[in-house]
Amino acid sequence: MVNAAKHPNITLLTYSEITDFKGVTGEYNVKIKKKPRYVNENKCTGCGLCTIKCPIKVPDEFNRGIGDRGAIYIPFPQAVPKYAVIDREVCIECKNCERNCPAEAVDFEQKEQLIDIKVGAIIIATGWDEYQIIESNEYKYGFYPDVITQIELERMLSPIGPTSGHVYQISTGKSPQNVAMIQCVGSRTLRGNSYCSAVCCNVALKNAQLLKQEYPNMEITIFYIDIRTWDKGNEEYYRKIRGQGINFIKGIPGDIKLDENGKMVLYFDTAMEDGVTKKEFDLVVLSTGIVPSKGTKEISEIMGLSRGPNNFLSEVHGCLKPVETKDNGIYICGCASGPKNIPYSVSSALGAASKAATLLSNDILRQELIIAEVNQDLCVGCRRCEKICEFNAITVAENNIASVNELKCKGCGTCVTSCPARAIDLKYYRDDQFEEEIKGLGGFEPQIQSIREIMEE
Amino acid sequence: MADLTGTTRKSYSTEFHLIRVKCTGRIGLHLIMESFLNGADGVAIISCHEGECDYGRANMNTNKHVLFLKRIFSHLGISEERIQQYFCAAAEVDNFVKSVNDITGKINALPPLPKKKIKPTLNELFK
Repeated sequence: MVNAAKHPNITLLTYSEITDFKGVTGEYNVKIKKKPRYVNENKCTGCGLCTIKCPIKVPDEFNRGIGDRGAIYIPFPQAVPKYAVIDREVCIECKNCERNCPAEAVDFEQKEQLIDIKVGAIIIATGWDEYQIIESNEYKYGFYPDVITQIELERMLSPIGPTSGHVYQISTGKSPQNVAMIQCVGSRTLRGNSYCSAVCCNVALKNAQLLKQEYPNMEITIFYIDIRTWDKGNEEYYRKIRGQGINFIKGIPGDIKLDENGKMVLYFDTAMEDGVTKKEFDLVVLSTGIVPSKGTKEISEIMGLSRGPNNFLSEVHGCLKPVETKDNGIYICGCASGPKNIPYSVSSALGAASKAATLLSNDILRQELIIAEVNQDLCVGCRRCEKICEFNAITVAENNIASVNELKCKGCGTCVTSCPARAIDLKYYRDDQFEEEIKGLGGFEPQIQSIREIMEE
Repeated sequence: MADLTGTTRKSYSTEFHLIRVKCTGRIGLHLIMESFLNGADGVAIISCHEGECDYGRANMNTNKHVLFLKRIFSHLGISEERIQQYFCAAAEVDNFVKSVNDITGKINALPPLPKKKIKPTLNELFK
Protein backbone atom coordinates (compact mmCIF):
# COMPACT_ATOMS: atom_id res chain seq x y z
CA MET A 1 0.00 0.00 0.00
CA VAL A 2 2.87 2.35 0.81
CA ASN A 3 4.47 1.72 -2.58
CA ALA A 4 1.23 2.55 -4.31
CA ALA A 5 0.96 5.79 -2.35
CA LYS A 6 4.49 6.87 -3.21
CA HIS A 7 4.41 6.06 -6.94
CA PRO A 8 4.53 9.25 -9.04
CA ASN A 9 1.84 8.01 -11.44
CA ILE A 10 -0.64 7.07 -8.73
CA THR A 11 -2.93 9.59 -7.04
CA LEU A 12 -4.81 8.36 -3.97
CA LEU A 13 -8.19 9.98 -3.34
CA THR A 14 -9.22 8.61 0.03
CA TYR A 15 -12.32 9.49 2.06
CA SER A 16 -14.07 10.20 -1.26
CA GLU A 17 -17.19 9.07 -3.11
CA ILE A 18 -18.16 8.83 -6.76
CA THR A 19 -21.18 11.04 -7.37
CA ASP A 20 -21.63 10.88 -11.13
CA PHE A 21 -20.47 8.75 -14.00
CA LYS A 22 -20.87 9.17 -17.76
CA GLY A 23 -19.14 8.13 -20.89
CA VAL A 24 -18.05 5.27 -23.08
CA THR A 25 -15.02 2.98 -23.20
CA GLY A 26 -11.85 4.99 -23.37
CA GLU A 27 -13.53 8.23 -22.33
CA TYR A 28 -15.28 8.11 -19.00
CA ASN A 29 -16.16 11.29 -17.08
CA VAL A 30 -16.20 10.66 -13.34
CA LYS A 31 -17.26 13.18 -10.71
CA ILE A 32 -15.83 12.63 -7.24
CA LYS A 33 -16.73 14.24 -3.92
CA LYS A 34 -13.77 14.38 -1.54
CA LYS A 35 -15.15 14.59 2.00
CA PRO A 36 -13.36 16.93 4.42
CA ARG A 37 -11.22 15.23 7.05
CA TYR A 38 -10.56 18.62 8.77
CA VAL A 39 -6.82 17.91 8.65
CA ASN A 40 -4.61 19.49 6.01
CA GLU A 41 -3.08 16.59 4.09
CA ASN A 42 -0.15 18.69 2.90
CA LYS A 43 0.94 19.38 6.48
CA CYS A 44 -0.02 16.34 8.56
CA THR A 45 2.92 14.01 9.26
CA GLY A 46 0.91 11.22 10.90
CA CYS A 47 2.76 11.62 14.22
CA GLY A 48 -0.40 10.90 16.21
CA LEU A 49 0.11 13.56 18.89
CA CYS A 50 -3.43 14.89 18.33
CA THR A 51 -4.94 11.48 19.00
CA ILE A 52 -3.35 11.42 22.46
CA LYS A 53 -4.56 14.92 23.33
CA CYS A 54 -8.19 14.33 22.38
CA PRO A 55 -10.46 14.06 25.47
CA ILE A 56 -13.21 12.09 23.73
CA LYS A 57 -13.34 8.29 23.84
CA VAL A 58 -15.62 6.31 21.52
CA PRO A 59 -15.49 2.61 20.49
CA ASP A 60 -12.86 1.95 17.84
CA GLU A 61 -14.29 0.47 14.61
CA PHE A 62 -11.01 -1.09 13.53
CA ASN A 63 -10.78 -3.00 16.81
CA ARG A 64 -14.47 -3.91 16.54
CA GLY A 65 -15.33 -2.03 19.73
CA ILE A 66 -12.68 -3.72 21.88
CA GLY A 67 -10.71 -0.58 22.65
CA ASP A 68 -11.43 3.04 21.85
CA ARG A 69 -10.34 5.98 19.78
CA GLY A 70 -10.70 9.75 20.02
CA ALA A 71 -12.74 12.13 17.89
CA ILE A 72 -9.50 12.82 15.98
CA TYR A 73 -7.85 9.56 15.09
CA ILE A 74 -5.70 7.59 12.67
CA PRO A 75 -7.71 4.50 11.65
CA PHE A 76 -4.93 1.98 12.34
CA PRO A 77 -1.14 2.18 12.67
CA GLN A 78 -0.44 1.02 9.09
CA ALA A 79 -3.04 3.30 7.47
CA VAL A 80 -2.21 4.62 4.01
CA PRO A 81 -2.23 7.62 3.65
CA LYS A 82 -1.26 8.23 7.25
CA TYR A 83 -3.27 11.35 8.05
CA ALA A 84 -5.53 11.98 11.01
CA VAL A 85 -9.25 12.48 10.48
CA ILE A 86 -11.84 14.18 12.72
CA ASP A 87 -15.20 12.55 13.37
CA ARG A 88 -17.33 15.70 13.71
CA GLU A 89 -20.28 13.75 15.08
CA VAL A 90 -18.48 13.17 18.39
CA CYS A 91 -16.06 16.10 18.35
CA ILE A 92 -16.78 18.78 20.98
CA GLU A 93 -14.49 21.30 19.26
CA CYS A 94 -12.29 21.88 22.30
CA LYS A 95 -9.49 22.55 19.78
CA ASN A 96 -6.94 20.67 21.91
CA CYS A 97 -5.68 18.91 18.77
CA GLU A 98 -5.30 22.19 16.91
CA ARG A 99 -3.33 23.76 19.73
CA ASN A 100 -0.97 20.79 20.14
CA CYS A 101 -0.29 19.93 16.49
CA PRO A 102 3.37 20.66 15.76
CA ALA A 103 2.67 20.95 12.03
CA GLU A 104 -0.45 23.16 12.42
CA ALA A 105 -2.33 20.74 10.24
CA VAL A 106 -5.76 20.80 11.91
CA ASP A 107 -8.25 22.87 9.92
CA PHE A 108 -11.82 22.95 11.19
CA GLU A 109 -12.89 25.10 8.23
CA GLN A 110 -11.97 22.54 5.59
CA LYS A 111 -14.68 22.13 2.93
CA GLU A 112 -15.53 19.20 0.68
CA GLN A 113 -13.88 19.19 -2.74
CA LEU A 114 -15.56 18.32 -6.03
CA ILE A 115 -13.21 16.72 -8.54
CA ASP A 116 -13.86 15.95 -12.21
CA ILE A 117 -11.62 13.46 -13.95
CA LYS A 118 -11.47 11.79 -17.36
CA VAL A 119 -10.32 8.19 -17.43
CA GLY A 120 -10.06 5.48 -20.06
CA ALA A 121 -10.72 2.39 -17.97
CA ILE A 122 -12.09 1.64 -14.52
CA ILE A 123 -11.36 -1.19 -12.08
CA ILE A 124 -13.75 -1.78 -9.20
CA ALA A 125 -12.31 -3.54 -6.16
CA THR A 126 -14.72 -2.55 -3.42
CA GLY A 127 -14.12 -5.69 -1.37
CA TRP A 128 -16.17 -7.27 1.36
CA ASP A 129 -17.73 -6.63 4.74
CA GLU A 130 -18.47 -9.04 7.54
CA TYR A 131 -21.84 -10.69 7.80
CA GLN A 132 -23.72 -8.48 10.24
CA ILE A 133 -24.63 -10.95 12.91
CA ILE A 134 -25.63 -8.14 15.27
CA GLU A 135 -28.81 -7.85 13.20
CA SER A 136 -29.92 -11.44 13.66
CA ASN A 137 -28.33 -12.14 17.07
CA GLU A 138 -27.65 -15.73 16.07
CA TYR A 139 -26.16 -17.79 18.89
CA LYS A 140 -27.11 -14.90 21.22
CA TYR A 141 -24.36 -12.67 19.76
CA GLY A 142 -24.90 -9.25 21.31
CA PHE A 143 -26.72 -10.73 24.31
CA TYR A 144 -24.07 -13.00 25.79
CA PRO A 145 -20.78 -11.08 26.13
CA ASP A 146 -18.59 -14.14 25.52
CA VAL A 147 -19.93 -14.90 22.05
CA ILE A 148 -17.57 -13.17 19.60
CA THR A 149 -16.65 -13.31 15.91
CA GLN A 150 -13.36 -14.50 14.40
CA ILE A 151 -12.31 -10.95 13.55
CA GLU A 152 -12.87 -9.83 17.14
CA LEU A 153 -10.75 -12.78 18.26
CA GLU A 154 -8.04 -11.75 15.80
CA ARG A 155 -7.98 -8.22 17.22
CA MET A 156 -7.47 -9.68 20.68
CA LEU A 157 -4.74 -12.03 19.44
CA SER A 158 -2.88 -9.23 17.65
CA PRO A 159 0.25 -8.23 19.61
CA ILE A 160 -0.39 -4.56 18.73
CA GLY A 161 -4.12 -4.83 19.33
CA PRO A 162 -6.23 -3.48 22.19
CA THR A 163 -5.38 -6.36 24.58
CA SER A 164 -1.75 -6.79 23.45
CA GLY A 165 -2.33 -10.36 22.35
CA HIS A 166 -4.12 -11.70 25.43
CA VAL A 167 -7.50 -13.33 25.02
CA TYR A 168 -9.99 -12.64 27.80
CA GLN A 169 -13.56 -13.54 28.52
CA ILE A 170 -15.42 -10.24 28.57
CA SER A 171 -17.66 -11.41 31.42
CA THR A 172 -14.98 -12.54 33.90
CA GLY A 173 -11.76 -10.96 32.61
CA LYS A 174 -10.00 -14.31 32.85
CA SER A 175 -8.49 -16.39 30.04
CA PRO A 176 -10.96 -18.97 28.75
CA GLN A 177 -10.16 -22.66 29.27
CA ASN A 178 -12.69 -24.04 26.82
CA VAL A 179 -13.21 -22.40 23.42
CA ALA A 180 -15.74 -23.39 20.74
CA MET A 181 -15.57 -22.23 17.13
CA ILE A 182 -18.73 -22.52 15.05
CA GLN A 183 -18.28 -22.55 11.27
CA CYS A 184 -20.66 -21.42 8.51
CA VAL A 185 -22.44 -18.73 10.54
CA GLY A 186 -24.48 -16.76 8.04
CA SER A 187 -23.12 -18.84 5.15
CA ARG A 188 -24.41 -22.02 3.49
CA THR A 189 -27.76 -21.48 5.19
CA LEU A 190 -31.29 -20.34 4.50
CA ARG A 191 -31.11 -18.17 7.63
CA GLY A 192 -28.42 -15.93 6.11
CA ASN A 193 -26.67 -16.40 2.77
CA SER A 194 -26.70 -19.57 0.72
CA TYR A 195 -23.13 -19.37 -0.60
CA CYS A 196 -19.88 -20.56 0.99
CA SER A 197 -17.65 -17.70 2.11
CA ALA A 198 -14.48 -19.53 1.02
CA VAL A 199 -12.15 -18.28 3.75
CA CYS A 200 -13.67 -19.00 7.16
CA CYS A 201 -12.43 -22.60 7.48
CA ASN A 202 -8.83 -21.52 6.97
CA VAL A 203 -9.29 -18.56 9.31
CA ALA A 204 -10.67 -20.79 12.07
CA LEU A 205 -7.75 -23.23 11.71
CA LYS A 206 -5.23 -20.41 11.88
CA ASN A 207 -6.84 -18.80 14.92
CA ALA A 208 -7.12 -22.17 16.68
CA GLN A 209 -3.41 -22.76 16.08
CA LEU A 210 -2.52 -19.26 17.38
CA LEU A 211 -4.63 -19.82 20.51
CA LYS A 212 -3.01 -23.19 21.16
CA GLN A 213 0.46 -21.68 20.81
CA GLU A 214 -0.37 -18.92 23.30
CA TYR A 215 -2.36 -21.09 25.72
CA PRO A 216 -1.17 -24.72 25.41
CA ASN A 217 -3.69 -26.01 27.98
CA MET A 218 -6.70 -24.46 26.27
CA GLU A 219 -9.25 -26.92 24.86
CA ILE A 220 -10.46 -25.84 21.42
CA THR A 221 -13.37 -27.48 19.59
CA ILE A 222 -14.33 -26.60 16.03
CA PHE A 223 -17.91 -27.39 14.96
CA TYR A 224 -18.18 -27.78 11.18
CA ILE A 225 -20.25 -29.00 8.25
CA ASP A 226 -17.20 -29.59 6.03
CA ILE A 227 -13.65 -28.37 6.49
CA ARG A 228 -13.03 -26.55 3.23
CA THR A 229 -9.25 -26.32 3.02
CA TRP A 230 -8.73 -25.80 -0.69
CA ASP A 231 -5.75 -24.13 -2.37
CA LYS A 232 -2.06 -24.80 -1.77
CA GLY A 233 -0.89 -26.04 1.61
CA ASN A 234 -4.17 -25.71 3.47
CA GLU A 235 -5.06 -29.40 3.67
CA GLU A 236 -1.57 -30.16 5.03
CA TYR A 237 -2.05 -27.41 7.64
CA TYR A 238 -5.37 -28.94 8.68
CA ARG A 239 -3.82 -32.40 9.09
CA LYS A 240 -0.98 -30.95 11.15
CA ILE A 241 -3.10 -29.12 13.70
CA ARG A 242 -5.70 -31.86 13.89
CA GLY A 243 -3.09 -33.98 15.58
CA GLN A 244 -2.13 -31.26 18.05
CA GLY A 245 -5.04 -31.29 20.45
CA ILE A 246 -7.64 -29.30 18.56
CA ASN A 247 -10.97 -31.19 18.43
CA PHE A 248 -13.22 -31.28 15.38
CA ILE A 249 -16.90 -32.13 15.65
CA LYS A 250 -18.99 -32.64 12.52
CA GLY A 251 -22.26 -31.02 13.50
CA ILE A 252 -23.36 -27.40 13.86
CA PRO A 253 -24.79 -26.49 17.30
CA GLY A 254 -28.45 -25.55 17.44
CA ASP A 255 -28.42 -22.93 20.14
CA ILE A 256 -26.64 -21.62 23.18
CA LYS A 257 -28.10 -21.44 26.66
CA LEU A 258 -26.86 -20.52 30.14
CA ASP A 259 -26.85 -23.24 32.81
CA GLU A 260 -27.54 -22.72 36.57
CA ASN A 261 -24.01 -21.47 37.15
CA GLY A 262 -24.25 -18.91 34.36
CA LYS A 263 -21.87 -20.80 32.05
CA MET A 264 -22.61 -21.10 28.35
CA VAL A 265 -23.79 -24.51 27.13
CA LEU A 266 -23.87 -25.52 23.47
CA TYR A 267 -26.36 -28.14 22.26
CA PHE A 268 -25.30 -30.13 19.20
CA ASP A 269 -26.04 -33.31 17.27
CA THR A 270 -22.98 -34.87 15.66
CA ALA A 271 -22.49 -37.45 12.96
CA MET A 272 -20.40 -39.47 15.40
CA GLU A 273 -22.91 -40.06 18.21
CA ASP A 274 -26.61 -40.62 18.65
CA GLY A 275 -28.88 -37.96 20.10
CA VAL A 276 -28.26 -34.41 21.20
CA THR A 277 -25.16 -33.71 23.30
CA LYS A 278 -24.38 -30.64 25.36
CA LYS A 279 -21.09 -29.16 26.45
CA GLU A 280 -19.95 -26.14 28.45
CA PHE A 281 -17.75 -23.46 26.93
CA ASP A 282 -16.13 -20.28 28.27
CA LEU A 283 -15.82 -18.56 24.90
CA VAL A 284 -17.70 -19.14 21.65
CA VAL A 285 -16.16 -17.81 18.43
CA LEU A 286 -18.43 -17.54 15.40
CA SER A 287 -16.93 -17.87 11.91
CA THR A 288 -19.14 -15.31 10.21
CA GLY A 289 -19.05 -15.06 6.44
CA ILE A 290 -18.39 -12.52 3.72
CA VAL A 291 -20.96 -10.14 2.23
CA PRO A 292 -20.45 -7.48 -0.46
CA SER A 293 -19.09 -4.25 1.04
CA LYS A 294 -21.38 -1.43 2.04
CA GLY A 295 -20.82 0.84 -1.00
CA THR A 296 -21.15 -1.90 -3.64
CA LYS A 297 -24.87 -1.38 -4.22
CA GLU A 298 -24.49 2.38 -4.68
CA ILE A 299 -21.55 2.15 -7.03
CA SER A 300 -23.21 -0.51 -9.16
CA GLU A 301 -26.25 1.75 -9.57
CA ILE A 302 -24.19 4.84 -10.43
CA MET A 303 -22.11 2.96 -13.01
CA GLY A 304 -24.88 0.77 -14.42
CA LEU A 305 -23.36 -2.56 -13.43
CA SER A 306 -25.37 -5.66 -12.71
CA ARG A 307 -25.32 -7.59 -9.46
CA GLY A 308 -26.03 -11.26 -8.91
CA PRO A 309 -28.64 -12.72 -6.56
CA ASN A 310 -26.32 -12.28 -3.57
CA ASN A 311 -25.51 -8.66 -4.51
CA PHE A 312 -21.93 -9.33 -5.55
CA LEU A 313 -21.02 -7.58 -8.82
CA SER A 314 -21.64 -9.76 -11.90
CA GLU A 315 -18.87 -10.74 -14.28
CA VAL A 316 -19.64 -11.45 -17.93
CA HIS A 317 -18.75 -15.13 -17.71
CA GLY A 318 -17.87 -16.90 -14.47
CA CYS A 319 -15.22 -19.17 -15.99
CA LEU A 320 -13.93 -17.44 -19.10
CA LYS A 321 -14.26 -13.74 -18.29
CA PRO A 322 -14.05 -13.38 -14.51
CA VAL A 323 -12.89 -9.77 -14.46
CA GLU A 324 -14.98 -8.19 -17.21
CA THR A 325 -18.39 -6.55 -16.95
CA LYS A 326 -20.90 -6.00 -19.73
CA ASP A 327 -19.50 -2.47 -20.11
CA ASN A 328 -16.25 -2.90 -22.02
CA GLY A 329 -13.78 -0.81 -20.02
CA ILE A 330 -15.06 -1.41 -16.49
CA TYR A 331 -13.39 -4.33 -14.74
CA ILE A 332 -14.06 -5.95 -11.37
CA CYS A 333 -11.77 -7.93 -9.12
CA GLY A 334 -11.34 -9.25 -5.62
CA CYS A 335 -14.21 -9.94 -3.27
CA ALA A 336 -16.41 -7.35 -5.01
CA SER A 337 -17.34 -10.15 -7.43
CA GLY A 338 -17.52 -12.99 -4.90
CA PRO A 339 -15.80 -14.48 -1.84
CA LYS A 340 -12.14 -15.21 -2.49
CA ASN A 341 -9.02 -16.06 -0.53
CA ILE A 342 -5.90 -13.92 -0.79
CA PRO A 343 -4.06 -15.67 -3.68
CA TYR A 344 -7.26 -15.78 -5.76
CA SER A 345 -7.98 -12.12 -4.98
CA VAL A 346 -4.47 -11.05 -5.97
CA SER A 347 -4.65 -13.07 -9.22
CA SER A 348 -7.96 -11.51 -10.17
CA ALA A 349 -6.55 -8.06 -9.44
CA LEU A 350 -3.56 -8.75 -11.68
CA GLY A 351 -5.99 -9.94 -14.36
CA ALA A 352 -8.10 -6.80 -14.15
CA ALA A 353 -5.01 -4.56 -14.24
CA SER A 354 -3.70 -6.43 -17.27
CA LYS A 355 -7.04 -6.09 -19.07
CA ALA A 356 -7.17 -2.36 -18.37
CA ALA A 357 -3.58 -1.90 -19.50
CA THR A 358 -4.21 -3.82 -22.73
CA LEU A 359 -7.26 -1.73 -23.46
CA LEU A 360 -5.42 1.54 -22.94
CA SER A 361 -2.28 0.51 -24.82
CA ASN A 362 -4.17 0.55 -28.13
CA ASP A 363 -4.95 3.69 -30.08
CA ILE A 364 -8.03 2.09 -31.58
CA LEU A 365 -11.00 0.22 -30.20
CA ARG A 366 -12.32 -2.79 -32.06
CA GLN A 367 -16.06 -3.06 -32.44
CA GLU A 368 -18.17 -5.62 -34.29
CA LEU A 369 -20.14 -4.33 -37.25
CA ILE A 370 -23.29 -6.16 -36.19
CA ILE A 371 -24.93 -3.21 -34.43
CA ALA A 372 -28.31 -1.56 -34.48
CA GLU A 373 -29.22 1.27 -36.84
CA VAL A 374 -32.13 3.72 -36.69
CA ASN A 375 -34.14 4.76 -39.74
CA GLN A 376 -34.67 8.41 -38.87
CA ASP A 377 -37.72 8.77 -41.12
CA LEU A 378 -39.69 6.09 -39.30
CA CYS A 379 -38.72 6.73 -35.67
CA VAL A 380 -41.53 8.23 -33.56
CA GLY A 381 -39.53 8.75 -30.37
CA CYS A 382 -41.58 6.38 -28.19
CA ARG A 383 -38.42 5.41 -26.26
CA ARG A 384 -39.27 1.72 -26.05
CA CYS A 385 -35.83 0.82 -27.43
CA GLU A 386 -34.10 3.17 -24.98
CA LYS A 387 -35.78 1.46 -22.03
CA ILE A 388 -35.25 -2.11 -23.16
CA CYS A 389 -31.56 -1.84 -24.04
CA GLU A 390 -29.50 -3.65 -21.38
CA PHE A 391 -26.34 -1.77 -22.33
CA ASN A 392 -27.85 1.75 -22.32
CA ALA A 393 -26.66 2.16 -25.89
CA ILE A 394 -29.70 4.03 -27.22
CA THR A 395 -30.55 7.63 -26.44
CA VAL A 396 -33.48 9.65 -27.72
CA ALA A 397 -32.38 13.19 -28.43
CA GLU A 398 -34.46 16.38 -28.16
CA ASN A 399 -35.61 16.00 -31.75
CA ASN A 400 -37.36 12.81 -30.56
CA ILE A 401 -35.34 10.48 -32.74
CA ALA A 402 -33.40 7.59 -31.30
CA SER A 403 -29.70 7.23 -31.94
CA VAL A 404 -27.46 4.26 -31.22
CA ASN A 405 -24.10 4.65 -29.50
CA GLU A 406 -21.98 2.53 -31.82
CA LEU A 407 -19.42 1.66 -29.18
CA LYS A 408 -21.90 0.43 -26.58
CA CYS A 409 -24.18 -1.60 -28.85
CA LYS A 410 -23.54 -5.36 -28.62
CA GLY A 411 -25.85 -6.39 -31.46
CA CYS A 412 -28.39 -8.48 -29.55
CA GLY A 413 -31.40 -7.17 -31.49
CA THR A 414 -33.78 -6.74 -28.54
CA CYS A 415 -34.47 -3.13 -29.57
CA VAL A 416 -35.58 -4.33 -33.02
CA THR A 417 -38.35 -6.46 -31.52
CA SER A 418 -39.55 -3.62 -29.32
CA CYS A 419 -39.98 -0.98 -32.02
CA PRO A 420 -43.63 -0.53 -33.02
CA ALA A 421 -42.69 1.48 -36.11
CA ARG A 422 -40.01 -1.00 -37.34
CA ALA A 423 -37.63 1.96 -37.35
CA ILE A 424 -34.60 0.24 -35.80
CA ASP A 425 -32.91 -2.70 -37.45
CA LEU A 426 -29.86 -4.85 -36.84
CA LYS A 427 -27.13 -4.59 -39.48
CA TYR A 428 -26.38 -7.92 -41.24
CA TYR A 429 -29.56 -9.36 -39.68
CA ARG A 430 -32.07 -7.03 -41.25
CA ASP A 431 -35.78 -7.73 -41.63
CA ASP A 432 -35.59 -8.00 -45.43
CA GLN A 433 -32.64 -10.38 -45.23
CA PHE A 434 -34.69 -12.66 -43.00
CA GLU A 435 -37.66 -12.35 -45.33
CA GLU A 436 -35.63 -13.62 -48.27
CA GLU A 437 -34.14 -16.44 -46.24
CA ILE A 438 -37.54 -17.56 -44.98
CA LYS A 439 -39.01 -17.41 -48.49
CA GLY A 440 -36.18 -19.57 -49.75
CA LEU A 441 -36.80 -22.18 -47.07
CA GLY A 442 -40.55 -22.19 -47.58
CA GLY A 443 -40.14 -24.23 -50.76
CA PHE A 444 -43.52 -23.43 -52.26
CA GLU A 445 -44.99 -20.90 -54.59
CA PRO A 446 -47.65 -19.04 -52.69
CA GLN A 447 -50.84 -18.97 -54.70
CA ILE A 448 -52.04 -15.44 -54.95
CA GLN A 449 -55.79 -15.19 -55.09
CA SER A 450 -58.09 -12.25 -54.90
CA ILE A 451 -60.78 -12.07 -52.25
CA ARG A 452 -63.49 -12.28 -54.90
CA GLU A 453 -62.26 -15.68 -56.08
CA ILE A 454 -62.14 -17.02 -52.54
CA MET A 455 -65.65 -15.84 -51.83
CA GLU A 456 -66.87 -17.49 -54.98
CA GLU A 457 -65.40 -20.87 -54.02
CA MET B 1 -25.27 -26.84 -31.03
CA ALA B 2 -26.39 -27.86 -34.49
CA ASP B 3 -22.73 -28.15 -35.54
CA LEU B 4 -22.00 -30.34 -32.56
CA THR B 5 -25.06 -32.45 -33.30
CA GLY B 6 -23.73 -33.05 -36.77
CA THR B 7 -20.17 -33.86 -35.76
CA THR B 8 -21.40 -36.32 -33.14
CA ARG B 9 -23.42 -38.00 -35.91
CA LYS B 10 -26.80 -37.62 -34.25
CA SER B 11 -29.70 -37.31 -36.65
CA TYR B 12 -32.76 -35.14 -36.50
CA SER B 13 -35.78 -34.57 -38.68
CA THR B 14 -35.26 -33.29 -42.26
CA GLU B 15 -38.46 -31.33 -42.04
CA PHE B 16 -36.71 -28.93 -39.69
CA HIS B 17 -35.06 -25.89 -41.28
CA LEU B 18 -32.54 -23.77 -39.40
CA ILE B 19 -32.21 -20.02 -39.46
CA ARG B 20 -29.24 -18.70 -37.55
CA VAL B 21 -29.36 -15.52 -35.45
CA LYS B 22 -26.74 -13.96 -33.23
CA CYS B 23 -29.15 -13.87 -30.28
CA THR B 24 -32.76 -15.05 -30.06
CA GLY B 25 -33.51 -11.55 -28.74
CA ARG B 26 -33.62 -10.52 -32.41
CA ILE B 27 -36.61 -12.77 -33.01
CA GLY B 28 -39.85 -11.08 -32.13
CA LEU B 29 -43.44 -11.02 -33.31
CA HIS B 30 -42.46 -9.83 -36.78
CA LEU B 31 -40.07 -12.62 -37.70
CA ILE B 32 -42.28 -15.37 -36.30
CA MET B 33 -45.27 -14.13 -38.31
CA GLU B 34 -43.06 -13.76 -41.41
CA SER B 35 -42.30 -17.47 -41.15
CA PHE B 36 -45.96 -18.42 -40.89
CA LEU B 37 -46.91 -16.12 -43.74
CA ASN B 38 -44.29 -17.73 -45.99
CA GLY B 39 -45.32 -21.31 -45.53
CA ALA B 40 -44.12 -22.53 -42.14
CA ASP B 41 -46.39 -24.87 -40.24
CA GLY B 42 -44.63 -24.23 -36.97
CA VAL B 43 -41.82 -22.14 -35.50
CA ALA B 44 -39.37 -23.31 -32.84
CA ILE B 45 -37.09 -20.83 -31.08
CA ILE B 46 -34.08 -22.44 -29.44
CA SER B 47 -32.39 -20.04 -27.06
CA CYS B 48 -29.93 -20.07 -24.17
CA HIS B 49 -31.10 -21.04 -20.68
CA GLU B 50 -32.76 -18.47 -18.47
CA GLY B 51 -30.13 -16.42 -16.69
CA GLU B 52 -27.44 -17.37 -19.19
CA CYS B 53 -28.20 -14.82 -21.86
CA ASP B 54 -24.98 -13.08 -22.89
CA TYR B 55 -26.95 -9.92 -23.57
CA GLY B 56 -28.90 -9.63 -20.34
CA ARG B 57 -32.44 -10.96 -20.66
CA ALA B 58 -32.98 -10.95 -24.43
CA ASN B 59 -34.09 -14.62 -24.49
CA MET B 60 -36.81 -13.95 -21.90
CA ASN B 61 -37.92 -10.86 -23.82
CA THR B 62 -38.52 -13.07 -26.85
CA ASN B 63 -40.37 -15.47 -24.56
CA LYS B 64 -42.85 -12.68 -23.82
CA HIS B 65 -43.46 -12.30 -27.55
CA VAL B 66 -43.91 -16.07 -27.89
CA LEU B 67 -46.47 -16.27 -25.08
CA PHE B 68 -48.37 -13.31 -26.52
CA LEU B 69 -48.54 -14.92 -29.95
CA LYS B 70 -49.72 -18.19 -28.43
CA ARG B 71 -52.66 -16.36 -26.86
CA ILE B 72 -53.51 -14.66 -30.15
CA PHE B 73 -53.33 -17.96 -31.98
CA SER B 74 -55.71 -19.60 -29.54
CA HIS B 75 -58.20 -16.77 -30.16
CA LEU B 76 -57.80 -17.20 -33.91
CA GLY B 77 -58.44 -20.93 -33.75
CA ILE B 78 -54.87 -21.91 -34.66
CA SER B 79 -53.20 -24.41 -32.36
CA GLU B 80 -50.92 -22.88 -29.71
CA GLU B 81 -48.54 -25.76 -30.18
CA ARG B 82 -47.30 -24.31 -33.45
CA ILE B 83 -44.93 -21.87 -31.71
CA GLN B 84 -42.55 -23.26 -29.12
CA GLN B 85 -39.52 -21.91 -27.32
CA TYR B 86 -36.88 -24.34 -26.10
CA PHE B 87 -33.98 -23.60 -23.76
CA CYS B 88 -30.77 -25.33 -24.72
CA ALA B 89 -27.11 -24.52 -24.10
CA ALA B 90 -24.59 -24.55 -26.92
CA ALA B 91 -23.14 -27.94 -26.11
CA GLU B 92 -26.34 -29.82 -25.20
CA VAL B 93 -26.69 -32.13 -28.19
CA ASP B 94 -29.30 -34.44 -26.69
CA ASN B 95 -31.43 -31.52 -25.59
CA PHE B 96 -31.30 -30.06 -29.11
CA VAL B 97 -32.31 -33.35 -30.75
CA LYS B 98 -35.10 -33.80 -28.20
CA SER B 99 -36.42 -30.28 -28.88
CA VAL B 100 -36.38 -30.79 -32.65
CA ASN B 101 -38.15 -34.14 -32.39
CA ASP B 102 -40.64 -32.59 -29.98
CA ILE B 103 -41.73 -29.84 -32.32
CA THR B 104 -41.75 -31.98 -35.46
CA GLY B 105 -43.92 -34.48 -33.57
CA LYS B 106 -46.30 -31.74 -32.50
CA ILE B 107 -46.57 -30.21 -35.97
CA ASN B 108 -47.00 -33.57 -37.68
CA ALA B 109 -49.96 -34.30 -35.44
CA LEU B 110 -51.66 -31.09 -36.61
CA PRO B 111 -53.19 -30.42 -40.04
CA PRO B 112 -51.05 -28.31 -42.42
CA LEU B 113 -51.84 -24.61 -42.56
CA PRO B 114 -53.45 -23.31 -45.79
CA LYS B 115 -50.73 -22.03 -48.09
CA LYS B 116 -52.47 -19.15 -49.77
CA LYS B 117 -51.65 -15.48 -49.98
CA ILE B 118 -54.68 -13.30 -50.21
CA LYS B 119 -54.27 -10.24 -52.36
CA PRO B 120 -57.30 -7.96 -52.45
CA THR B 121 -57.59 -5.74 -55.52
CA LEU B 122 -58.38 -2.11 -54.87
CA ASN B 123 -61.85 -2.45 -56.42
CA GLU B 124 -62.85 -5.15 -54.02
CA LEU B 125 -61.56 -3.22 -51.04
CA PHE B 126 -63.77 -0.24 -51.73
CA LYS B 127 -66.86 -2.01 -53.02
